[in-house]
Amino acid sequence: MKLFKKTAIALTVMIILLNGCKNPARDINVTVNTDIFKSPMLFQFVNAKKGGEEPKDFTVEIKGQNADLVRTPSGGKVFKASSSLLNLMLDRAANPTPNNPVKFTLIINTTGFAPTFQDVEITSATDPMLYKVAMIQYTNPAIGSGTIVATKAISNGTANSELAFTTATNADLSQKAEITIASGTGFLDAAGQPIVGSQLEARIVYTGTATNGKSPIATGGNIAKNVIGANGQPIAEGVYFFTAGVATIDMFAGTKEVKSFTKPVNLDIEVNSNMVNPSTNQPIQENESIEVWSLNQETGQWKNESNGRIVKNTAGKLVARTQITHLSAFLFGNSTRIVPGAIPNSCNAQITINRANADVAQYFRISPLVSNSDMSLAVGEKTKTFQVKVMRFTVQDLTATPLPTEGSPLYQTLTSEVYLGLCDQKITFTFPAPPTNQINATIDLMFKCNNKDLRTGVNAMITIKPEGAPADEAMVFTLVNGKARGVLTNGVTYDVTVAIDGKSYTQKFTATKNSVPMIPAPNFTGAIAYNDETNTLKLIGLINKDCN
Amino acid sequence: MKKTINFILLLMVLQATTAFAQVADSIKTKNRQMSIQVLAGSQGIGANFRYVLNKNIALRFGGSYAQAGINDKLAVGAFNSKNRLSGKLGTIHALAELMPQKFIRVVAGAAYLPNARMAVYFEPKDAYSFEGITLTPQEIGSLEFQMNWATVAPYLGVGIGRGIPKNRFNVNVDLGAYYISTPKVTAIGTKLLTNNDSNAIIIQNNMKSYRFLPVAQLNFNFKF
Repeated sequence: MKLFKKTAIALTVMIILLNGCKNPARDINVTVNTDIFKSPMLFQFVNAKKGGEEPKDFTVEIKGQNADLVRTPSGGKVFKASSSLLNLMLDRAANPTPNNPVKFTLIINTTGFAPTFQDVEITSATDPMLYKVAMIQYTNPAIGSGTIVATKAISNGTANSELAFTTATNADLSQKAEITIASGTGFLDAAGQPIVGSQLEARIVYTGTATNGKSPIATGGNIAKNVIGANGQPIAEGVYFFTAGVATIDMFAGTKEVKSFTKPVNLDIEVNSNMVNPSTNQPIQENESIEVWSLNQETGQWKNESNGRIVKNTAGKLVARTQITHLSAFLFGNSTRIVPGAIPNSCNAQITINRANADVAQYFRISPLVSNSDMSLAVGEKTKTFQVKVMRFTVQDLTATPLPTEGSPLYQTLTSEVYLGLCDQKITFTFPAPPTNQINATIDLMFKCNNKDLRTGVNAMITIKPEGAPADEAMVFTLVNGKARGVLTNGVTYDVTVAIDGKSYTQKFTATKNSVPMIPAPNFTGAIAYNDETNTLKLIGLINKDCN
Repeated sequence: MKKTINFILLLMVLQATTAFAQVADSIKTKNRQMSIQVLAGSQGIGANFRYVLNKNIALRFGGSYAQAGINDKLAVGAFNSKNRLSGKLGTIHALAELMPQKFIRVVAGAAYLPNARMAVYFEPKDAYSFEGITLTPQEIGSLEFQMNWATVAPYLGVGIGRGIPKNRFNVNVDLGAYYISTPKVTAIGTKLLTNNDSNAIIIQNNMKSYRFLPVAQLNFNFKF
């Protein structure tokens, strides 16, 4: 019986293998899902001046309370932005909730742009998050900012005369910041050692009240979660800054960065004379004190230094003045502790969101600081009005950003006018109707290792934008095991960018109602298949990469 | 257990046909010829009832069943894996034989295939690493590809040897093939192997040309 069975098996297998002469398992590549991480995040770095040169490729540091939980989508801990994008995730051990959020700070130092900091707070293990991080370019500062990059002679690492660096004013900013270094002041490095050099280069960005009245926003935003108070203790819930002005100062002598001085250095910033002091509810006055906060550029942590004073300079303008002994970003203003769920010094306002297409439910983020900042419209809701709490004492515009949603054609951020005060305002955001010639789109994107027989779906947020459009108008698709869906416009040529682990993979295609191969691109191949019945374009892509 | 039952059934059939043959002997010259056939071969084990209409045409009705499996003989992608290739084939067939000569028969007909399936199952033995991610076999899960063929298949073949024994018993051979459909292939993955539907399509395409299921069997015939 055994012999018969073995003979039958051998015959069967031989017949199967010989029949058609083709191995059934030929060309199989087993795909293992790697979506084991949580909380997908995409950081899009943009020039704070719309239309300016974008910051492209650079290393990002992650610091702060839960920095150890941050990963790249492939589990790495080296964070590099590529094509202005950075995908991050949280480790599988992370468990962020609204009551127990994961917090960390991004620190970005890249050539041509002022050091930039972004506090991040994650409260969900599943919701994708999109952050647009505005970076100030020294040569093309944003509205409300002025800069100086200048070099002055020093002698053997010491100022041999009084040195003054003053930021420039421009059409969008009439205020300036000035740092004055007394003669005989020495310059010290991070270890506190004297720096020997004959040239001192200063790079200073000052953000004040813009000529259109808009209040200044600190680097990283006016909400700070990584904060040390005046008593030297962390403020767990964070603070909100009523910012009068921020000066970000970096200096270099010889080949080293200057971190501190042997003598105190004067720092003056011109402030808006109409700015209201939240303590008095009146415009700021001469001789009033004002808080001074410094930003640790290694950790992204704000520290309450001391109080400065409001004085008048020789031109009769109100300035906030302090003396500093080290270099940092310095914020002049007042602060209030954040009460979870509450807006400090708040008043009422109304926000209405209109959208032409209501086929999917979608969240919209309204910022800065508005209660119920994530507002949702359900399926079928084309318009909805929200009663909100907003900040007093600030002059600002609001932005409305559609959060990445499968099947939604909305992706552009809308910006309101600048309001001299938000109290009792009725603010409407109307998202334009999508083009009529829309095609449903699905994406199926895989990584294939060049040096291993391994294949896995891409777990990251990718951007697809119309060719020639600015980067911040890109649609964001959240890929889970390589799959996502959305909406494209027939006849439009799109640029696809996948940025993972410091590398970008790009592709270009035109959305049409035809099945075509993708144009061959380095390491990124695929095909586009159109299904007439469902009006769906399927983008099937394969990215080849070397894997560890 | 199944082998035991099959063997007992075979014995019962043999005994029944022997008893029947003894009665039939006495009137054999006047009755049409019939036989019970026990078969063994690439279709597994089965039995047929054979009925001769005239000296050129006979009919055959019956069925067969085969089931087999092989462990750890496959190489699947990059995985060092525990794997199993298994298959089942059950047929209920109706065939007609044309006998141009005594020892050669042309056989044609069709079969209903209530069970015609194959499965490839595997689970990784080793950890899997991709960049900064390391996954244990328990985390990865298992993957099975199931192939199912349609339920009806025509048959054509040749029989060698006398269809009905001259005396009580003989042995003859059938060689032929079923024409089968392209199988429908389904991927069933667990845990981190749920995303392999595209591989099922690849297997299905690879098996498009696998349209003939050859048959080679020995028939043990008992006349009655």
